[in-house]
Amino acid sequence: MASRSAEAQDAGRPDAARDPAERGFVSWLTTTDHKRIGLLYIGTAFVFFLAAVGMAMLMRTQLIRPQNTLLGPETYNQVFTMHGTTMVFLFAMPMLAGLGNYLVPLLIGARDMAFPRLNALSYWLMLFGGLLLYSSFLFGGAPDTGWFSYAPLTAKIFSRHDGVDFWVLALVLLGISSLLGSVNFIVTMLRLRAPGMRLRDMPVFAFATFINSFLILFAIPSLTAAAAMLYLDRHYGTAFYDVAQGGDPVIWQHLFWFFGHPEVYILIVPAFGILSEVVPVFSRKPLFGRGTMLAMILFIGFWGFLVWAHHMFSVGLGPVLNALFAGSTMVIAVPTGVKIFNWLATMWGGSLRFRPPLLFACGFIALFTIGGLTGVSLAVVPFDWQVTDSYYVVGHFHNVLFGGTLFGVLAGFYYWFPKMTGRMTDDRLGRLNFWLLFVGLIVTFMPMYALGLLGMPRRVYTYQPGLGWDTLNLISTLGGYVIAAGVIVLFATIIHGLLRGKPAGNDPWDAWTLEWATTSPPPWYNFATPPAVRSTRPLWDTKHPDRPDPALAGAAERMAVAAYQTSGLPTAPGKSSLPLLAALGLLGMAAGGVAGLRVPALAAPFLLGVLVVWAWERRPAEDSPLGDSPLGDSPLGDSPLGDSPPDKRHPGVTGMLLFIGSEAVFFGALFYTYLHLRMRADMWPPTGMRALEARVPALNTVVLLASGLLAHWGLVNLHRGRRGRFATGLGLAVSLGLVFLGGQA
Amino acid sequence: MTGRPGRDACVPARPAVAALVASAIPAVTGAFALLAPASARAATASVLRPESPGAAEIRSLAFTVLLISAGIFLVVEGLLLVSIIRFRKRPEAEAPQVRGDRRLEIVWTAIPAVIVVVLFLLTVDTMKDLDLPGKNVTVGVTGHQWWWEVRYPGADAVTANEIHVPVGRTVQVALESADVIHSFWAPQIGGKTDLIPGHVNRTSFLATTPGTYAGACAEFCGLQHAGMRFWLVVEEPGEFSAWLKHQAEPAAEPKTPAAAAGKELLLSLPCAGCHSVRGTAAQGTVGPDLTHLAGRLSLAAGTLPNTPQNLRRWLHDPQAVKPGNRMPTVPLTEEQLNQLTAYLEGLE
Repeated sequence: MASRSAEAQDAGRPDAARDPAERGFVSWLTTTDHKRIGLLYIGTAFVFFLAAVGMAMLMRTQLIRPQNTLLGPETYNQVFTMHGTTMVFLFAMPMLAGLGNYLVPLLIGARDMAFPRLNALSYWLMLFGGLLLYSSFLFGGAPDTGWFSYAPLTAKIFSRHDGVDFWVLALVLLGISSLLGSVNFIVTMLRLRAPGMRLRDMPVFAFATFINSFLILFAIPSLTAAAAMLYLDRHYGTAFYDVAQGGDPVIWQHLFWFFGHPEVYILIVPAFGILSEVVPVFSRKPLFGRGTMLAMILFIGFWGFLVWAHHMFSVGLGPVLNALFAGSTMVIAVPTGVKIFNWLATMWGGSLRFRPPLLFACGFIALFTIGGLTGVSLAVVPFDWQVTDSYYVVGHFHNVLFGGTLFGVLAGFYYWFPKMTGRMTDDRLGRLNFWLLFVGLIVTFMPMYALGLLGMPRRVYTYQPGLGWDTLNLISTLGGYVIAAGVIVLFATIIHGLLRGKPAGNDPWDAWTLEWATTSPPPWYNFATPPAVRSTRPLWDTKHPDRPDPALAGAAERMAVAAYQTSGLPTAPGKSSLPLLAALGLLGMAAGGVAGLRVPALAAPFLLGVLVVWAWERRPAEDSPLGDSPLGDSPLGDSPLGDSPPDKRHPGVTGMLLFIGSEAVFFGALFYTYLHLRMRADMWPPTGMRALEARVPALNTVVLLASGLLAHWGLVNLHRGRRGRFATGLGLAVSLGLVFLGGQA
Repeated sequence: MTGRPGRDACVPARPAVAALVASAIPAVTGAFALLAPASARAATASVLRPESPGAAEIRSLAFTVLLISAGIFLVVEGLLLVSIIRFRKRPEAEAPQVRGDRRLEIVWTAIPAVIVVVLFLLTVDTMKDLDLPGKNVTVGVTGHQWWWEVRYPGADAVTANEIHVPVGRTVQVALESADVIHSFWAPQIGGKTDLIPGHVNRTSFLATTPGTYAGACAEFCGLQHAGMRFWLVVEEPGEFSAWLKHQAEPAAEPKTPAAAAGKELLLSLPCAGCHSVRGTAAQGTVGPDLTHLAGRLSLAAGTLPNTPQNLRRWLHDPQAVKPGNRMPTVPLTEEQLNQLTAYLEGLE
């Protein structure tokens, strides 16, 4: 304790670092500080988490005995749909985005995210997407088709009320939020790393978030495309999924799972990153096989896109495809196993500190292993035929998402809570929290494997007695109540920590990454001077100058290049009301879509106005987390990019390229659908749907591309001083552009 | 790191033991539920009590996978426990700063890789075995929200929610859907195959023991997904042929005045708009065929045993029995209920 009190002195009171401009309710609405946005994300995620846990308790109570009548089928189906959708899109993803938001800039020694206002927009879209989804309870009923909402159950004739529309439009808002967040994370990590730090030298949690952002970027558009086509089917008769008019419901499954399986990795990869931060610090050893760990994250991220059809073994894709996807799925077991063994090797020979973060990390290893092994069993096609869509699967993915994602998140939450609040949580409460959740999880979900093997399908609102399911369901429900107690203790721990927690000091865990080099909580500018990074454990080097970690190759040269970055601080914490307004505009558009207003007449011009102001507004203080840079004209300054020369491109260009890559997946999904339907039957598109004919749009696309090329040619000539050619190029580009507009009309 | 090194190490020990004991309970119960010998008449839908060579092969594959998984599980959890116990009591010790070991990493990359290859080969091998050549009997099954229509091509037999097949013959089931996606699952006979609008999926099996086996829809299909069950009746070939012949016959004529009145009611009320009773004017195709209703095991897609009391209850208020199902509640007097029940009970 002696060392801690000294630290507490220099940290002063936990909120001493707050800027006076950062007080009051309104400041939360206009903040563009990544840390405050991170806290908003985390807080919002916890609120949705409570709602989803509450719904889980309703379900378990309904199933406590056969033919229970607490919930009717209508309510039960809404509750399980909302539970799943909430946990995936409104708890796990925002929670990981929140932790990433708070920590990634700190971990890489930056002052903020690359696009602070865009960051705020991501948060507000997440909140509004969630509110839109939940408002469905007030307007005719929540969605009730399950979190993967298979077509054609979602068609208008089978789902008449607006629940599915709320689901679709909320998911589109949440998707935009995640895409913007991912672009922001990627550009931040590409451009704002501390001097000396290459991508591969970032802390593993930052690296995992980096890879994860690419997963989000390329997976979400497939869902957005599927959802857009569902919306058109429901309201405009396009019949993408309607067999009667030549559509095919299996398209939905391909597009959904092309998103849905990477989504599972989106939920687990950051947790891998968190474990790789926590386990070393609490074992007092460096991460075992750090390079391998990064490579495995990279591999899982890439390979995750090649396994989606293992959700579809009972669809009848044929033996060849089934076998291929079984093989590709099993491959994932190898990198996952390597990660687990490397964590174990990190603990081996260490001196373990059993504080709550390590308890949750050990819980992760213990429980995620079970989820991983049962996951492999689901890749065994004939066995999958038996247990898919049964309670076995429910047991499996809760082992992965509860034992994995949630335990990883809580390990990270307990680890970084002192940094975020300046206060410690109570260890006894933390331990109680851990044991209740650990036991609760086992008691709730282990019986589900048995229930699946005993033939109980998932998503049944009730069941008949006499099939051997009664006792196991009772045990599972009692386990659920233990989980509920654990969740209550979690919130008690948080509240106790916020109000009564002991001051944490800068570095309560004696850790090694950059976030512990600043105060707790950090000032709005994070670091007065960008920290220099000579190894992957910069604070170890500071604390043990006699035996520093092996220096990274070329670190000294990179730091010399980056010396300019110490130039002045931005003058004030950033704030802007535009992100909130833009998010409101988008919410208005989406809500208009639900209400059946074909043209959301008020929201569209409002949104356009906000975006115009946004485009015109120039606020270098906000958009330049690192202040002015003497190199190049980038408002961000240039960050050393590994061995390559500093990047002169405006970061907005990088962001736009990433966005275009993501859009390519969106249009790829639409294009796949078009080809699939045209090759399958001549019936589609339905008569009267001329908009779905491809010839005119194809010609028009050629015209647009030609116009773009001519404009570029003109610009190149302008730069070379050939004004005549520029004028020709511009003229042709404009006239082709007009032809294009005519074609569109 | 903290001033009292002993505290961290010993505090969690007792709650930890209690917690681990508590967690063991469901595992033991689950194992008991799965492996206890079933009494002769006890109903089950267990994957682990196969009644066809295919389901038996899946079970032995499952046991192999379980065995391999159990091995890995024990190694991982064992290493975790050993490191927790062995390395927890030295909070003040400075650990050697080991960064990795290439050879060890190769070992624990190679071993899972080999296991995965073995699993893949086992999977493909079993998939080949499950692909039955030829067929003796074809059954056409169409999924509806929330019941099963069953037809036998070549015979004029139509029934619902129960599938009769002969023992020891290869049966091919052709699966279609009239509305949304359903999934056909009789766990003791084999795995699931989806019923998808616009597609015809086929699955084959060969049942080895006569008996009545539980089945259910396994793909969420809307409000009454839970109430979409069926019975698979495996019988001797002679019995099966007799049953099929009987199912193809038109409905029995009413034998009592009450039943005759019931027939008139059925034809005059909305019933006939949805249901068929072959041999009468009732030719509806929306709901299940009622021609031989009284001979069936269950009502309302496996949700009620087929007794006169249950039939009466169902006719009185189908929405109370199975909320949300597509059969509207038709107001009937006591007398009408009796007559209708009498008629339907005569449709052997």
